[in-house]
Amino acid sequence: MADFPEKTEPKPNRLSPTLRDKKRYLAFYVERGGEVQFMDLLNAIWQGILGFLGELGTAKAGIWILKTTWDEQKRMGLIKCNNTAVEEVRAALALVNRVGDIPVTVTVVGVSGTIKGAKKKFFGERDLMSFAGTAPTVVAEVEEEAETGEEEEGELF
Amino acid sequence: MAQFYDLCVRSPFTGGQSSLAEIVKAGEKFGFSGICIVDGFRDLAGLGELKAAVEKAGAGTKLDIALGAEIRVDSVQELKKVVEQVRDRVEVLIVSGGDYNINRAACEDSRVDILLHPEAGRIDSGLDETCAEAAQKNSVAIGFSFKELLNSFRKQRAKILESIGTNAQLLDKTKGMGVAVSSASSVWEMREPRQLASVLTALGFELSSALRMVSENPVWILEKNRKVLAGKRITEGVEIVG
Repeated sequence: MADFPEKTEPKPNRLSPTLRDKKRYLAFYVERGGEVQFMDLLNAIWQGILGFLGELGTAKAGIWILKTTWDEQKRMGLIKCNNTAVEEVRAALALVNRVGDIPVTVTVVGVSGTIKGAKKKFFGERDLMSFAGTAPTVVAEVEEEAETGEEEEGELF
Repeated sequence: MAQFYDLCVRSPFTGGQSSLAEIVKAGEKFGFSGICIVDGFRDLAGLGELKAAVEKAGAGTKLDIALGAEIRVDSVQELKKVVEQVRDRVEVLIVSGGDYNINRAACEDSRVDILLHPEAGRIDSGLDETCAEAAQKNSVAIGFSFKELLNSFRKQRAKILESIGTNAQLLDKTKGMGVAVSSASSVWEMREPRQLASVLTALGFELSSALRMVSENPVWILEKNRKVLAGKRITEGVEIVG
């Protein structure tokens, strides 16, 4: 007998666009005075937000820290909130100054309406479309290299 | 493009934990056009020492670095004496508030530039309408110190926020001038200007007036004092042009 996929939990339908909260994504950058684990940082940010806005304010602001967007190298991440709460979240992040004994500052780099836009603008992420104009140049460089016989390791690919 | 200034960053000579080079680097990184290194005034020799260090630190940077003094005194007589001594030597003169008599004396003295955290250590906001009107008349800015918020917790922070909110209402009513400063003792207490403005916005200020507190108002204070120190500004409304 064929295996049928397990029955998934029924979900409510999505709210209509007029009922949905308008969201914004704040790109934040963390400057730190020592080694900090991401989970500790996450807790510190939540504590900072809950401390400043309170439980009710945090709920109204619709705050969510997007763990998957955290970039350890760039020390940047995204926080989602309602469009009306951007200033409050910015203020709450300004009041985060310590993770354990390590001093930190959390700076808001910018605000975007979509994750994709935020990643492009603030994380420097590129999609295939952004390479569209540059393709001939790359080919030309490869051809030029082949003619001169010079090779540079890892420059192009 | 708007110019942003932080008019109170504490010097390493009087309690600050970061060197001038670190402060300058952080100021550039946070997007400030200039910062004011403030001396917790002890004597004129100490001020001279800081002035030399500030000039040296400002040599290799685009950041506009000003010299200021923060006065902490216990009596009005002492305040007047120290203001008299220091006024012609610094670009920004800050009086550390807290005591009501000191707050009121600072508001009534046009030589004072900023009355910092009038609510410090009090259960009320430290200002009333008389003080706020006097401050407006004498162009004394009310300073909102970010450090007070940063280093307080729970009940104490709530009290400070409440007092700042009250002072915001007074400023709004009297059309007085406000300034947001970090009062940072180390680079870890410095924040970018937009974040300083956001904290004030959360307390009831309009975003435009909050931004004015980190850009137009500090610039006005600095320009006015630089003209006075250069002998170009004789008195209110009288300037040497050209």
